[in-house]
Amino acid sequence: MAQILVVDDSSTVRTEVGDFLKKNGLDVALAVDGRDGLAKLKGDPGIKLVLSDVNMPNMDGLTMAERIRSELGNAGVNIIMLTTENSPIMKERGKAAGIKGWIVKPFKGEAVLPTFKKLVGV
Amino acid sequence: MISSSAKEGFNLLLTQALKDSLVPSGAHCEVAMLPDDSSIRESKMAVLTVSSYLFRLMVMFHFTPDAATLAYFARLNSGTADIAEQECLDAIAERGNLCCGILNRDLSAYFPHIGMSTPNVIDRHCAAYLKMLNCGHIQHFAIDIDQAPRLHVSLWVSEYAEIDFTVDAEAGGSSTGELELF
Repeated sequence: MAQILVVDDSSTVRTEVGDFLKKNGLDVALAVDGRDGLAKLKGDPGIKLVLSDVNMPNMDGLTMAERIRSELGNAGVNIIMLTTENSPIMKERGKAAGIKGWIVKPFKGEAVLPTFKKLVGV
Repeated sequence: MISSSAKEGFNLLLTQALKDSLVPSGAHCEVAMLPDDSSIRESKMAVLTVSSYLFRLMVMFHFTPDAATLAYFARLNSGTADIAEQECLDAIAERGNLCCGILNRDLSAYFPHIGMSTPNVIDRHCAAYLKMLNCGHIQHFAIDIDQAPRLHVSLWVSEYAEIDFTVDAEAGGSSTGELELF
């Protein structure tokens, strides 16, 4: 069972973020887009935090967040967007879907690790 | 029609974004504007677009996946010099994504309704078809970074209306990497 699901269409970002979190003692699952992310989340009840890109093929991160709440009825999982976007309109859409937070890339692991650990209950 | 002030603004914002996304922390970097694309001979391009209802801007990152380029992007991303070609393509595309993300955020100060694409890697010969877009502004850049092969980037702006804005060169960029909790 994983604690954190990293969703990004870039293998560079998946590797960078996934390796950092694993190195810091967290169990990580990876998904290549929003559709894959939804499937991975359905299959792993241990996931407490989803860290997702916004712009991805097949299903974007904000649509995935909306479907996590509406289709899976999963209000317990925390969702944080990790993206180059910083648009207030997108953030409002994310808030409406119940996302917990927003990080503008690049990923700076040390700055967010304590909060991630708190969110997954470590 | 794109005003000369707007052309300067696009060039300045892209130059800043290139320095912030393609250069390792502390490394020396020179970004020069080229008069034409005759010195650009790389075989592939990573292409991203930033679009509003007033214009579409394309940024092309030219590269050849040779040993020097692979090694540079490997070091830039993971600090190691060992990376497979497919990983290198993804790493270059992600660097382009970071660069255009900065450009997108900076341009949103002047054009609130704006968005960007995901990166696509295409063959250099596709560039010939871009001429059909009748772009109002084209600028090519050469980027020289310590211990790196010379990089080339092209900016093409296709306008749907008159574009005029002036960049405030003193304005600071938005912060990155911090978690904004809701």
